[in-house]
Amino acid sequence: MSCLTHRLPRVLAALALLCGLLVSLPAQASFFDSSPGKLAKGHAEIDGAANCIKCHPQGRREIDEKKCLDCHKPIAERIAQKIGLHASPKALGRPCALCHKEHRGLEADLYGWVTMGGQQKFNHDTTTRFPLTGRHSVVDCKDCHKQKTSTGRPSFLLAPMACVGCHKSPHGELHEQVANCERCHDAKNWRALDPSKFDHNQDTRFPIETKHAGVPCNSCHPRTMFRLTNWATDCTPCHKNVHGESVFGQKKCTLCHSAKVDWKVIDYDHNHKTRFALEGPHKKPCAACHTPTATKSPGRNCDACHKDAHEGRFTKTGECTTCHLSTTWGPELKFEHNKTRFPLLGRHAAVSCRACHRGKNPAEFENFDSIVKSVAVGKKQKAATVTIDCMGCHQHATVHKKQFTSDQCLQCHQKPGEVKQSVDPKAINERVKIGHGPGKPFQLIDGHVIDGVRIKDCRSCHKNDQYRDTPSMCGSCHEDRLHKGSLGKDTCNNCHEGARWAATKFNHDQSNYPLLGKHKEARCESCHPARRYKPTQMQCGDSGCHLKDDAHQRSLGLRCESCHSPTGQVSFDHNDPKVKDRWRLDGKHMAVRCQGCHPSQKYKPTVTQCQDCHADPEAHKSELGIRCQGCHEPATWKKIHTGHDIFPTRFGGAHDRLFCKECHPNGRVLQGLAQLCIGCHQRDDVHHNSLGPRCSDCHTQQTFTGARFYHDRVGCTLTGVHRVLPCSDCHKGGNYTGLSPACVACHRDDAVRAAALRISTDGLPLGAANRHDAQTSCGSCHNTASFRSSRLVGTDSVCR
Amino acid sequence: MRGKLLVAMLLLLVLPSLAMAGPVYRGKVSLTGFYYTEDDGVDPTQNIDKRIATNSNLGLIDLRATVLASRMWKDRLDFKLDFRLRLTGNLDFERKFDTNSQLSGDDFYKKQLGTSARGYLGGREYDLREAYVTFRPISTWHLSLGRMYIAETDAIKVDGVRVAHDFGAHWYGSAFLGGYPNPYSRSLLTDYSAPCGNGVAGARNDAPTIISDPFTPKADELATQQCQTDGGKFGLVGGIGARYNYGSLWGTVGAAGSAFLGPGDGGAVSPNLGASPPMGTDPIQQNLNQPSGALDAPRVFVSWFNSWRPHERVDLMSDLVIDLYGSAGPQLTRAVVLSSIRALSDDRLTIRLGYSHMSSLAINMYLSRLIYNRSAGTTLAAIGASAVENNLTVLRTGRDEGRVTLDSRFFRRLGGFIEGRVRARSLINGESVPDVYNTTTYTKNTSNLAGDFSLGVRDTGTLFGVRASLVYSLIFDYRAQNHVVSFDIGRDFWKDRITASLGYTVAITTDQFANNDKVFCSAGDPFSGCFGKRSGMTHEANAQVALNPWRTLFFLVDYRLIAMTSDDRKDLPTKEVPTVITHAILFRSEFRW
Repeated sequence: MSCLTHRLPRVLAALALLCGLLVSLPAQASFFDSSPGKLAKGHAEIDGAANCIKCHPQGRREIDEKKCLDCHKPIAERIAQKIGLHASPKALGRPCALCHKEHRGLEADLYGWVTMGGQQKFNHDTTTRFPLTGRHSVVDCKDCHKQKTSTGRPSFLLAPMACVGCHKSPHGELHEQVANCERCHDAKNWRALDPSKFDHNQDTRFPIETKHAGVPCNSCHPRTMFRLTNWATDCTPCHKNVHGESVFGQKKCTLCHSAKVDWKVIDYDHNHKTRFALEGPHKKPCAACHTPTATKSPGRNCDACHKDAHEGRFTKTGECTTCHLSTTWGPELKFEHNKTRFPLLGRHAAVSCRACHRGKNPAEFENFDSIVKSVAVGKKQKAATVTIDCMGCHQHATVHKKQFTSDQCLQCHQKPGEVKQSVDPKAINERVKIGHGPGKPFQLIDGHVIDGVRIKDCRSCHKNDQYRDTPSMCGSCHEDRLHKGSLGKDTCNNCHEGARWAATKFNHDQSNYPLLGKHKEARCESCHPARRYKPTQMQCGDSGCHLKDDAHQRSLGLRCESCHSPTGQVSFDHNDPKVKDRWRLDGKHMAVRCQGCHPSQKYKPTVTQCQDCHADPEAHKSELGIRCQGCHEPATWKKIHTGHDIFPTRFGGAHDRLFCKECHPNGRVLQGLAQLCIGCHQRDDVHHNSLGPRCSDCHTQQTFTGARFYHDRVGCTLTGVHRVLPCSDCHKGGNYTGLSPACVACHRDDAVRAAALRISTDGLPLGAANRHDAQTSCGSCHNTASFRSSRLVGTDSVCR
Repeated sequence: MRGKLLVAMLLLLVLPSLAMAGPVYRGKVSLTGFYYTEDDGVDPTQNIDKRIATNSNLGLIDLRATVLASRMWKDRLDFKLDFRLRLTGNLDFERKFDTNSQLSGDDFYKKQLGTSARGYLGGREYDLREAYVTFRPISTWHLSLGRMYIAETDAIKVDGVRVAHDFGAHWYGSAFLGGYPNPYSRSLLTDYSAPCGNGVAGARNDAPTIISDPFTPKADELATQQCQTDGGKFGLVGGIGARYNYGSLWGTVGAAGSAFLGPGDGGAVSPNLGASPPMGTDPIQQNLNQPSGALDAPRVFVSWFNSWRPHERVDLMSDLVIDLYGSAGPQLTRAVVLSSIRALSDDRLTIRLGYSHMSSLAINMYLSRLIYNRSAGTTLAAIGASAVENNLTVLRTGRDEGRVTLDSRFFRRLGGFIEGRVRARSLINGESVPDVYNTTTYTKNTSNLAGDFSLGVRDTGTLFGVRASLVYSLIFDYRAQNHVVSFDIGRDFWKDRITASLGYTVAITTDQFANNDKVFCSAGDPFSGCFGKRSGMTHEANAQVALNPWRTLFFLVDYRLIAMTSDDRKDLPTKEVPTVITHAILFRSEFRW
């Protein structure tokens, strides 16, 4: 009893609980009628019975993970991108509620830190893309994760990845390419890492050149301000301008100076950067021209620096540089005299200035305005002509003995300063008019006019500059070197007309040797060597004409015209039927040059055999004799007419691959016998006459092996094993006709042997009646396919 | 004297060296393969009697090599080697006497007999055709040693020595002496021994034996073993020959004598008029005289081969071989006369006329086994005329043939031809003993006249180089009639390096006794009813490709598909005759240099 009393409260409690459960049964039908507790702050907005289905689908207790991610889209995106804690193996695929437990009140830890063991247990290194190293490992979470969610709760997803997200740069504004903190710092401390990681040459517009190397950073960048706001790509932020307001001080330092070399070394290309190239004596220190205080550069004119030594003599001429070179002021002048009215031509160009312009010093320089004058033609001065009084300088009494006046000099001489006579047609015409013009005794006409121009050099006829009393006969000028007087003296005009060398007055066709064909084109001296016209040679083969051309070496006589025509053609007709013992040309021979068959131009004795021209080709190895025409045609050497393409079928097969000699020894002709194989294959006739002379009835030309004999066409279709037996097994001794087809004709001995082996015909003990050798009807028991006893009725013949 | 001899010897060595021609080396190696198989669809285990196709196959590989080295040693030495090796199998005919196999039921039919070659002798062959050296001490005298063909004397093969002399521009003569290998042999193993045919029994091939009691022969008198040769049978031959050449007239003439140091064929078959009891007039043992056991008689013959061109359009050729002395007596062994007349120029019309007479050259030495059969107690004993082969062989078969051919080229390469041939066969010397041979056993239903007629057109490349021919032939054979139509087409490609051809042939064959139910085969009367009774058709399609990429190389593949159909046979228990389908493929590769 006491025991019962002691347990009663428990029993009642159990009953009460049971009643409670029974009472609550109807409520299970509506899961959302009651809440297990308040939602955390983050979900406070969806707290309430109306919002249960936002997490619990279809009235069930389970949470639909999709619904979570529908709201927490950043989480869904990170899972999709496979980044972050939720995409890690620890969380991926697991229910959200495993960590994020709800209905535990407003202040409950919805982040799940408790489940994870606290924030300090979160492994930032493996589950995020931002491992916590160095000083970051001791920083409190909230110091970095300062961002808030839309509900004002701390967000651990939006923390910046870049340093500047948390740290402020002490370097002020930096260029984009150097703004990356990691280039110089890491998470351990703020000290700069290896400075060499920063490449001043690559990362800035200011490469560290030789003289700047080794300079501490803070010498140029005080207070770690790496971007110099007052730097204008020049040196002045660091270096002082020592040139003040002078012309050098107005320019950029780098125009002359460079950090690559010492500061005092000036690197300025005056020749290219200015229009005043420093050449020769102008290669002097800058200060020689540029005074330290001058605020402008000196002018480019010479007088800016130099004094006029000519005292104004050449004021009209122009600048000093008209005559003087900047490199050598002294003797080498560049004055272009040819641009004056008196160009220096011929010998004038070779004399020194002082040879004409006499004087003692630079201020004294003789003027020739009185000798060289411009004479106005018309109204415009540009059209003026220049008259030169040559004898104003030259005294020619010793040359022409004062035959000519000063104004006639240039009628003969090409130009001032030139002794040669002018070849200008106008000048020549003018010159000729002096002695050979109309009315003069020896006018220069006809042959003395060459290409429309008369003889150019008067001295070719006027020797020693004698222009008076010159002889007028041809021989006085023209030496008869060709004819050597063979045609008489002073007879030039008999053949040559008008002082022309071509003997146009002579008509060969009216002579006793008219010119024909190639002779018309021949030069006179070709037939008249050494211009000897008498005595004249008339025969083609005369020594003076074609004797040297006679390739036949006189073997055919001197009557070249027998075969050759004056037109250069060979008139010999190889196929002329009138020619005795002609050798008719056809085919390829028609195109062969004569020498092809008649080497050394020897036409006699006549060659008629092929081998006389065609040496036995190597292909035949001297084995086929000399009757080439037996196989080859003149039309084409490669075409061989063997006559083999004849009845009954093309003669070919293996025969095509034979050397001719194998069938045609010693050049024998076999025409007409090709279909009679035995003519060549006598030795191959293993049938020894028994099958006739035409092997092709069974054999093919491709190969002798594999003869095709159709036994079924001779009245005996073989059966069984006999179809493949060797022929000689039945046809002994070459007997192919009249053979008995009866089995016993061949197999009689088999019967005898079977009897000797005591094999009976019926399997019974051997006796007189069942002896094999007493039987002749083999087919009664045997068949031709095998020797085993036949089941049905056999045949006594091998033929079906 | 010694000095002159020394000078002469020096001249022998020096004179040939004056020749300018260098050595010439040529050769050829060829490999030929052939395979043949056929089937008629008949199950041999069920209908063995209906089966036509064989249970075995044909297959062979021929390797042939020819080496010719001439003008060696400053034109003094020539050498030639020509041999052929055939690899194939042999059929196992000993199964016939394997009683165990005979009793093993259907399994025997299923077994393939094997693969062999249907060559002249069958089986493997080790054929040494030529192997000789020729030495020319001076340019006009030649000495040859080894195995060679004597072209001047009917191209007989000799193992010996040959001395030849060049008599000038027109005549060249030789004399020879040496061993005479079996002309029918194609293997070194049988060159000097009597060959035994496979497939038939017969332990003996030696001298004929007189069996004392034909009906109870003793064991050593019977053929109890497979046919085997019994050692060498040496033959000897010698003779002289010459060849001449007069431009339009050339040829050879020769004379030779041969002797075999073995038993002869027993002499001429002659009737025994005193036989008792006589059994009709058939040449059975009882009616014949006993054969002679003497050595084989020597054979002496002359030959003359002549080619003459009396006119530029006429060619005449004749080939004569006459046996002057021998076992069969004097006879015309071979006579061939051919003429070719080019009636119109440019091959417009060519007429060919020919006549040939040929008889088998039965070399008596190797007939000894047949003579054995002629003896009492063997084939001829009590059986009747089953051994007709003996008589024909001993007496020699002969054939005479005449032919006329008209050949014409119509246009370019298009031409046509007509040809007719008539031939007759006979028993040589049979008329000398008419009582033996001229019996109805040999003459009944026997046709000794045959012929053929062909008509065809061909084109060898007029149109795009295509070659084609269409030929019809009517063949009257001795015991069958054939209509044959064949069509071929082919073309060369790649500058004649490749040749491809296709062909189709159909033959309609009617045997002499086709559809004759009254004719039966009897061993005692084999020529009346033992020949074929088939009528039917044979279709053959073939494709051939030849490749000749260089002059030195050649390849050939030839395939043929043959279908032989037959009409129903009323005289057989199974009237339907199966169609035999045959596949035959031939390949050949050849290398020349």
